[in-house]
Amino acid sequence: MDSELMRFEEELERLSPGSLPEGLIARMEAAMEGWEQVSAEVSEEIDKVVPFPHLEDEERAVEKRGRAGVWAAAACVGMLGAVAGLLLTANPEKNEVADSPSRVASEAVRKAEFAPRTARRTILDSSNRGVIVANGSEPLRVMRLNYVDRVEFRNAAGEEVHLEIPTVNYHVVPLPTD
Amino acid sequence: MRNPGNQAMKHPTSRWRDWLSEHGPKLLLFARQQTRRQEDAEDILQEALVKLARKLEEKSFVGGQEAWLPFLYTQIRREAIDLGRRNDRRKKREETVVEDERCQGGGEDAWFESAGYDEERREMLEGALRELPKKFSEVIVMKIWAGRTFAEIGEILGISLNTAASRYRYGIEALRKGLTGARIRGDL
Repeated sequence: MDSELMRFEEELERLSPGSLPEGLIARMEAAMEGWEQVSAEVSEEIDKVVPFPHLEDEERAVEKRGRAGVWAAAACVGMLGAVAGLLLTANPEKNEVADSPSRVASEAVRKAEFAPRTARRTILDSSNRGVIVANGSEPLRVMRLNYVDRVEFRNAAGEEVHLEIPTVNYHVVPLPTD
Repeated sequence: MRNPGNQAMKHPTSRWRDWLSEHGPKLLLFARQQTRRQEDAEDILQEALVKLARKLEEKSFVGGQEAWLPFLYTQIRREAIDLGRRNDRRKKREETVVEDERCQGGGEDAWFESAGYDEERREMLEGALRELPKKFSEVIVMKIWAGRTFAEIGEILGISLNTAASRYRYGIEALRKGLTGARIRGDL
């Protein structure tokens, strides 16, 4: 070390750490004397702590929420399809009540009702969100998927409705450890 | 061989008090360097001291009184790491608080005594030390103000003697460089 650095070192040595205030010494002293009590208090405090959910629990919850969204969307699409199917399966040519007064209204309803024509899922991007160890044993890779479900509806008049459901979902993939 | 800690526990008040008065300041300085706030430093120092007292009482402490300080430095560092991990979840909130404290001019407890030293110079040195990366400043604090050898520092930090010595040298150089910069800027 050169002489300039040594002089600087000496300068630093002249600094003295701040002394402990009387109150702090008394506190440390009391803690050391009553270490059993302090340890018990710490244990009690730890017992009071409400643990945060584990990472894997959160991931599971996110995945569950994601799945719930997909199921809800699927149910919605299914219901629309069922309603539209009911309305559209009636063959106008075999309709024995073609001249009934409701015929005009049915036509109007049929024109207004939309039936699903296509449904597809497009993955926009996926990213690796690292490895987690579930239950302290099995390593899992967390993948984030960003995708969009597109459903196309069309009515008798040829009008189209496009439904888009963007979704972010997390998937865990077991990793080989051998 | 009689454990000096047992004797200390028989007359805890006087024994601990004298010992704390003598060694407490450098232990607190190290704790202060390891944490972000004065309160955290006091808490981890207390935790370390309680662990020492407990080990002495349970007669599970290995070594005599000369081993207390190395044990405490190691313990303080461990407690600081644990505290840092616990606080990670609250990091953003804490940083906001720290920023607020800085804005209000609070939260900057002095690490060193002002007596016998130019106040402005002390502030500059202390500021430069605080800004130094932790891996350098912890070695400097232990070497200069705790009087530990590089071998002891290496053992406490879990690094080799040579690494401890290198970090010390680089740290001192960086500290001096920082202060030279301050002098050029006209802060000194």
